[in-house]
Amino acid sequence: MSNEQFLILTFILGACLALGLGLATYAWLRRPFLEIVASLRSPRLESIIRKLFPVTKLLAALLGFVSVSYYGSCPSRSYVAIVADRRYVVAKNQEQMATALGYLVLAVLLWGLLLTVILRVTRRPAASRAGEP
Amino acid sequence: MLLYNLLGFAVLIVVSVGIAVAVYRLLHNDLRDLLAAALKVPGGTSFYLRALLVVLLFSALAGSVGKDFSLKPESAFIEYVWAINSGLKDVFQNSLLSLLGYLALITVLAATLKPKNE
Repeated sequence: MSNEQFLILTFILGACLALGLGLATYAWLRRPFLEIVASLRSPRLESIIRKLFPVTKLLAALLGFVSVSYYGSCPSRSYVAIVADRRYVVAKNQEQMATALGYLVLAVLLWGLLLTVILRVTRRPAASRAGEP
Repeated sequence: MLLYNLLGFAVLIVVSVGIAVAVYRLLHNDLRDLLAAALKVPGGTSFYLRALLVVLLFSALAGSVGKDFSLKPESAFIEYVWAINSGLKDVFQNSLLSLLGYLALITVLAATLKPKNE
């Protein structure tokens, strides 16, 4: 396998792996997430949240993957230099995976915060009703 | 040696996953009780517990996977240990930051959702 083929293959495999991580995260959190969302009393909000959850997981994983530049910085490498160095290509693949994982962590934390806010907002009227005489 | 580099990388991955699982198990029972008292929503406890596992595991893996493990064949044994050390630095750093983020999230959750009479 030539170095250029290796670069293309590892890039495609990396993208698939990042997508797989996003899907795995969604699958792992899906059931309890849907249970929480089902308890909301707003069908439209429920529908929007239900659709956005997998999208944000996939976008976070892909954002991490694509945010790594093969050219590097200071000094930037030429394409020929990138292709010639397999170790550099592998290191960049590792960096892509690490960044994808980092963005997924961020997405999970933000969804946790968002659900907290939503639960708080949707619970407030019931609590205030209970306090009424 | 490629084999030693792979072995060092595998050790780093296993240790980082072990750290994430150990921290998760350490927090699991108390966190489950806190969430059950605060949330009272079907699936709520399960969601935040699973989120903690994802956060810990992925942040530890992000630290270890990103480590460039390419020592020269003539490298001494201790150099592999140092390389693992260097990877663990990123693992601990990521885990610490993620834990702080999760702690902030749970604090907000408990402060806003927990009934006042409990």
